[in-house]
Amino acid sequence: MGWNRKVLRVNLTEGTCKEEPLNMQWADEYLGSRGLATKYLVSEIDPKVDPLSPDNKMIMSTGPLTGTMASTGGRYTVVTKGPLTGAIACSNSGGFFGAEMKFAGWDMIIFEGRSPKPVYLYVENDKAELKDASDLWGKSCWETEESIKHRHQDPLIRVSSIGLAGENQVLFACIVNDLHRAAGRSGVGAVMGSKNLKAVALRGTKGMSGIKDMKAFMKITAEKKKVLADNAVTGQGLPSMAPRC
Amino acid sequence: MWKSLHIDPKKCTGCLQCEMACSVEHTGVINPSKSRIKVFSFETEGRKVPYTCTQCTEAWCLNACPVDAIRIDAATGAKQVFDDVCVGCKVCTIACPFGTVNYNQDTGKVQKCDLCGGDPACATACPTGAITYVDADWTGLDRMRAWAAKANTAVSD
Repeated sequence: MGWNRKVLRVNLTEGTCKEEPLNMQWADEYLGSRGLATKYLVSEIDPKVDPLSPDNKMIMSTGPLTGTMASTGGRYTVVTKGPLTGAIACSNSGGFFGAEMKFAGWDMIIFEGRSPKPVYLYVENDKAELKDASDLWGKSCWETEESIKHRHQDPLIRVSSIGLAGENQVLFACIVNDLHRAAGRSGVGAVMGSKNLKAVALRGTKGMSGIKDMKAFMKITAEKKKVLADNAVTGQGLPSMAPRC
Repeated sequence: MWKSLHIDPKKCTGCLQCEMACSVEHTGVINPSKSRIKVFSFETEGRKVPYTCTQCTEAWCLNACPVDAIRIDAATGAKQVFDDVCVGCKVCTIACPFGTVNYNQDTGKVQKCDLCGGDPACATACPTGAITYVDADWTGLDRMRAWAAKANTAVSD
């Protein structure tokens, strides 16, 4: 399936970004995205950890279909211990951010620790680094996204960020990507804020090459899209109501 | 008979299926960064607009090329880049008034829409009919029909 077989582990306390192989046994057993990230989370953190402490981890994850033409293939998932309920928090979002993670060559990003100062993660294919975000702190998600694109002189960067709610660790804060897509459930933005992580900016030009038989894949995804098009809700109801943005 | 890619931005939802299909057709990999068609999003206005080469009759890219690497495909009318001739000088990218010829760092050549040899993958992939492949002489047919539909009705009298 469509795996890059690579995980990016970002230690915010030490300011390091390390590559490690994706646990393919877990990928097979837990399919990806929510299931796979949850397996990683429960294996790595103490269940009694304070969600807003440096000992909690936050995982941004994709599934085997993310970054492909399959319907819902744009989605990514944020998994962490949630500050609102104290349970495993899973929040997912559409847009282009998840696909870009795949195009840059990664399947998952694990954030651990807490940065001593506000930072954002910048990933350009294999290269990943933490950059100072002092000037972005206090800015809205839209301003942050615009600033990062301007700074890197690259309008094709995909950004996921927190706004003031996340910075102030509001317990239902979102993480917003591609301007108006949000991982809105369970306060994952507060965890990101507690880690002093303002944004994640991705740029991938490698593409998704892990598909074994592209022709067969394209054929089956086209067929499945017809199921959605023929369905009264997804084919007529939702398109008639959807804002065009 | 030549056909043209016809783009109706009103129908575009910004799903990027066209970009993915284009990259698969030309590189074998799902990689929108190597697509020859791009969808632009004007967020504050809520508009999405796919954009690609219009295959100019008097093609500036073709005229500007110093090594004749861009030629007309007689079957489709597409202005096609021949990779084995292209030297990657990028003069065509400067000459094109619309920016639809671009350099590809991976190949060291330029790339542009070649109409996929007469069966454009973007038009096939578009789920909303925003990109269609129509008779090159009748790209205005749908708009004419829409106006014609308003004529000879009770309202128009």
